[in-house]
Amino acid sequence: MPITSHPLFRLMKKTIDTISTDELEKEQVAFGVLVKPEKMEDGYVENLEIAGTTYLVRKPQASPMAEDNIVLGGSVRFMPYTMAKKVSVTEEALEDNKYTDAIQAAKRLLKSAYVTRDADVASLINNSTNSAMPSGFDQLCLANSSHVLPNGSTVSNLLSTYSTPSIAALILAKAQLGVMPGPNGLIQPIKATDIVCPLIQEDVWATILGSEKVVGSNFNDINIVRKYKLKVMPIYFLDGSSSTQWGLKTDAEDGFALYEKRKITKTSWVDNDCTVLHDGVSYRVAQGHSNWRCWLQGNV
Amino acid sequence: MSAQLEPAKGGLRWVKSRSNPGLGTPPVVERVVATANGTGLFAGDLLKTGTDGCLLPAAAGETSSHVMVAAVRYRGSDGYMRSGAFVPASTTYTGTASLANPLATVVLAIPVNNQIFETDIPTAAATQTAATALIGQCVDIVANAGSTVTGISGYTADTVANFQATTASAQLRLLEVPEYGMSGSINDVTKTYWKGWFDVNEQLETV
Repeated sequence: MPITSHPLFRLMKKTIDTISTDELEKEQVAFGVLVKPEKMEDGYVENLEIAGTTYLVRKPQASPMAEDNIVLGGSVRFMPYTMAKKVSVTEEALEDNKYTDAIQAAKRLLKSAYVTRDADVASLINNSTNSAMPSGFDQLCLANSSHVLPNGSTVSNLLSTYSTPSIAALILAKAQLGVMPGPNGLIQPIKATDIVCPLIQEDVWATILGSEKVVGSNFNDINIVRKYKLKVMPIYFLDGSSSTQWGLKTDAEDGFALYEKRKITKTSWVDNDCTVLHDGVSYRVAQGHSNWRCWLQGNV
Repeated sequence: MSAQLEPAKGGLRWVKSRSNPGLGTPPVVERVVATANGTGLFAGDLLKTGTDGCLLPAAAGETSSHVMVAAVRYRGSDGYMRSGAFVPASTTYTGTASLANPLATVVLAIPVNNQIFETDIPTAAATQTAATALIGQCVDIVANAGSTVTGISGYTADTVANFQATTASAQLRLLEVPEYGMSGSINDVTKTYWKGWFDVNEQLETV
């Protein structure tokens, strides 16, 4: 409903010294870090997985070569959504208001748009084990114990033993990613690049990654995970869902996807009949993941 | 239980007109409140039209006519006329209940006919599927008192367990579960105070 001058009654005369309000800086935590946005050229984006040939077969002399095949796997289609909101303020309210900081409708909406986009990107992790949010080539949730390869076999991208933050967990994860099969089912090693976690875990991971020697071993052992050169990517929006979940973003190609059809765009219009000024903001994107190998779930 | 990303807001909040999508301004009217008003009227309260033609808050189960927007004017207990987001409880004035009376309590309100409002549902649905299954069902409001600090209504829909059949008589009907963000984790129906879009099922048609 439009903002009229009545709820702003206290702003009609200059009696207030300080107005404290929401932070309006456009900080992005997950957007652009977890996922790099790409431009969506067409009305939708479609990605396809193809599995190639596997190991060669010994061929006796004069015997024909064994034949292999190339198999199309699943495809994932990204359809853009429009997210939008508006704030309506009567001209009377604008006339009566004495404080420029009070309304700032367009600026507030822009901030909301940035926060929404950021929370949306974080939701890729929030929903990583939610079967109601499928995506990717095999149309399963991001973290799943039975990701389907084009040849029909299944692979897990859950840490084999869910662990709290520790050196052992990262060693286990490295080993698991090192034997991760590609689309054809052969080992195509991948590496972790980032630890994605709620903010509450940031310092725990910083301690684990930053120490030169292994704490608790009389400083005899080197801290091997320091050499993994992992970056910690704390995401505020994850705290609301779980303080214990974490995972590793890997260097697998075609993983997290975010296609921008319309960047954050603001608009304003006046309903002259009602003398109401409307500020609106919208953006249009599609997001998800194609290649689930971009993620290894460390804990939920 | 972890937090709901979209915070609880309180009251009924106008979303759109069913018959005029795109204009962006709800129908708003000025209406008088009775000379002796007992219960406060807060922004977002569901209101009914009394037998005297004045607006007053609707209780659970009552036929309603408007949603409160703001207090155009009311006479404070100190005798001064004020504007504000809400009309305090026990507001009285002298003279007739008429817009022409400068002392009369007057509010801005949206006639509920053909309008869609958002409100919070205070308990969690089991799943998104369960929440979707509530679409079309009716539910009464819970008339919690609003905040005398912010002036915002405390009204919510009743709990998920109290949704009634599509043929039942209850004040609101759930039309849509709005998608805040693209993910389901912002307006998370499995958390308390998720948002639904409703029309007013039991209503008195007015201007």
